[in-house]
Amino acid sequence: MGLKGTAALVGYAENKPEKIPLGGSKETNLEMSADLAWRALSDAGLSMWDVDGIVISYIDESEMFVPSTVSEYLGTCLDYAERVDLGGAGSAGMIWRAAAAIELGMARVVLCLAPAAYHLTPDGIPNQLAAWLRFGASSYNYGSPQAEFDIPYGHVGQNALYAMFAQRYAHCHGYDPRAMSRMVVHLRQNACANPDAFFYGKPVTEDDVLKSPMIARPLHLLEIVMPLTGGAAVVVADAQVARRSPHRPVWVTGCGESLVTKSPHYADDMLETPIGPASQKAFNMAGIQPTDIHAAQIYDCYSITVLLTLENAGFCPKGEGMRFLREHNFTWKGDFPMNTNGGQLSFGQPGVAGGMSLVIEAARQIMGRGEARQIRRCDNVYVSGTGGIMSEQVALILQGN
Amino acid sequence: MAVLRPRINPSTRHFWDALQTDHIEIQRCLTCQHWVFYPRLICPHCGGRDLEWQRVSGRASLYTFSVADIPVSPDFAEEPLLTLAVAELDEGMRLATTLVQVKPEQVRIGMRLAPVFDHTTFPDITLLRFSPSPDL
Repeated sequence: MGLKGTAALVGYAENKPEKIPLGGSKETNLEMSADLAWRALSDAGLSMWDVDGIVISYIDESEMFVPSTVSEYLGTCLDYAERVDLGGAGSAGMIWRAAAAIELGMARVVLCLAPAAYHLTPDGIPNQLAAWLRFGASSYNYGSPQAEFDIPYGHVGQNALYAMFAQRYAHCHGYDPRAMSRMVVHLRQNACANPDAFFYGKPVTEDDVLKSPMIARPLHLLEIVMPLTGGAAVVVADAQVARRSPHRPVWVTGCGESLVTKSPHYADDMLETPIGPASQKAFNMAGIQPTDIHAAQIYDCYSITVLLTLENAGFCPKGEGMRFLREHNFTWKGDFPMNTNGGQLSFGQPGVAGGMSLVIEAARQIMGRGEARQIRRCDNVYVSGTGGIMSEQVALILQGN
Repeated sequence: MAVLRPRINPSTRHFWDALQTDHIEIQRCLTCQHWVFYPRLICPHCGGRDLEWQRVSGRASLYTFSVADIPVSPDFAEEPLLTLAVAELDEGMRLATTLVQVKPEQVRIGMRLAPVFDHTTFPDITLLRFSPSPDL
């Protein structure tokens, strides 16, 4: 059962995250997809004519029929295509879908696309961004349970909802704001070794984190991602293509996906996040354990997401996450290298490409292309993705051998 | 006060009508006896279709909360320090709400809560909020 591990990441491309322009992005998501696709394929020694599968996230330009719109624009001829609707878990979700499609024989070379350009409506209102600012991860459409039972009470947006996890954690296990800030500082140190990170050259201290504005107690501004524009693409290919690749193939050997409720209120136990079962499935599939991991690229929309993922994925016992944060060094030089590109907290979060930046960093480290932040031995990497309000989570195991 | 109307549909209307008269009525599955919130057509626990509206007291405990130190969204800009909460009714089901008549510093997870029927500026909408009630 599960993946055999015969599909591999063979190339990638990503844009440097930037502030979202007030007037909207100049580039369309289709243009950005084409640019990213050609660069990622070139990185893999391939061209558009090798592509027979596309997996993509949301784009501003189309509410539906996204894959065929993109295929037409790129000039591809596809045997497999889909749009993944898992929010921030979508990037990790795209990778295992691509690998599964390849193992099934549906495709040989699959492009995973996460462009994140933002446009204005004819009225001058930023499209996705306006909806995102107003309703966050919730829908105010007729018939949506969120429109009836969440939004009227102000259960909207992300910050205050993620803070409810932190409050519950504090009640059950205790809370150490300094341990959280220490981890945030380490991720910033990683970003300072990554010239493409948004916060490159801008180190912070624990006091900076603790003194940054309180957004939804106990979450400070510097514990929360900054939404940016950017984009990323990854090429997943079958074993025959992978073995001819210019880079060390990064095999997709384990995956898991879990989702139960959209709104976290209804979860049986809010602290048992879906990443637990997703990670167990991924580790079992790959036949390795958390102690075998050389680097973890953990979805870090908020500091609390990292803490709960470390615990529920099995990197430390439940309830001991704060101690784990105090005792380990999360920089690329440390004993537990984590989010070695700076993570979304310090690399930036360009939409779904934020999650893809973690996938790409995993591949980069396994390929040995980490440059100033290359960790010494990197064969086994854990990657996680999180969508909505801890609503949907995906785990991947990527391996070099 | 309310800034965004709940978007009610015919199958959930009963819940809101009850709140208008200061009562809480929640669906209960006659097949498996589970309480069901929010209102549904089919019981998510057993698939049963015989769901009956039953009145509950509204006594609850605080499961978790958060305080919006900055507004949760532009619609709520006029509501400083909105205290979002998840109330767990004594029957076991949870719902999203806000706490009223309490300072953020006084909020403790596990505290006992009583319902507050907030007859909003929308004439047909009563929101179900909660306030601490140590004696419950």
